[in-house]
Amino acid sequence: MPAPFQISVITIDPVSWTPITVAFDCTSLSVKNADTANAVRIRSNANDATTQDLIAPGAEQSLAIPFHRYRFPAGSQPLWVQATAGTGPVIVKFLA
Amino acid sequence: MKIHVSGDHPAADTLREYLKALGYAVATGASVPSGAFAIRVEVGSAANIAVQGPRGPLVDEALRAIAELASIRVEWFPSNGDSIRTIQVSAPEIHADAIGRGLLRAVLRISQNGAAQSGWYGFFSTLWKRLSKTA
Repeated sequence: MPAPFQISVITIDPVSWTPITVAFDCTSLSVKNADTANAVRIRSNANDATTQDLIAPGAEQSLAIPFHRYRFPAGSQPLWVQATAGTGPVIVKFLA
Repeated sequence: MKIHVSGDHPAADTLREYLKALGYAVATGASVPSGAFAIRVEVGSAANIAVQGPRGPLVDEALRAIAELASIRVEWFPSNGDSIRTIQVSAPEIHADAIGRGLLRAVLRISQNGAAQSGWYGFFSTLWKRLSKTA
C-alpha cells in the first residue's frame, strides 16, 4: 500500500445502488455528496429500505471505528449509494 | 429530449425501462424521430465491449460511464456520416448491466438531469416539486 489514505470519485445514478468497496483495511471512511443540487441516498444494505439515510447536497458523512482491532476490511461493501437525480458523483475517502 | 433505443441486447430493454422511469420520451419504432438521440445495443460475439459512433458528448460520456462499470475493455470505433447524437454498442449479453447503466448515466449527463436551475424558473420549479411531494 503506497499510502494509508485514498480518495475515490464514484459516479452514481438514480435507478441503481452503487456499492462503496473498501480499498484497503481502514478505520475510517467518509462519503461526500459532490452534487450541489441533489441529495444522495445511502444504505448499509441495498435491499433494505430501513437502513437508508440521506446526504444533503454538498454534505459529507464520516464513519469512523474508534477500536483499532475492528476495521472496515478491504473488499467489503459497507455502504451503497444512489442519486435522487443526476449522476453525483460522491467522493469517498479511505483512511487506514 | 427524445431518445430512440433499439437493438436485441437485454441492455436495450433495461435502458428503456430506466429512461421511462425517469420521465424521458422513449421511442422504439423502426425510424428515429427527428432530433432524437439514437442508441442501438446489439449482442456481439467479441470479448470486448465495442462502442461505435462519432466522437461527441454522447459517445464520450458513454465510453467513460461504461468503462467505470464494466469489468472488460471498452473499445471505440469511428463511424462516418452518422450524427453525434448516434451511438451503437455491441457486446456479449453478460455485460447488460454495465451497458444499460452506463448508457443511462451518459444520457443523464448530456441532458443535465438534476442540474440546478437558476432564477425564478428554478425557484418555482423546486417549490412545485416540494409541494407535490408533500401533497
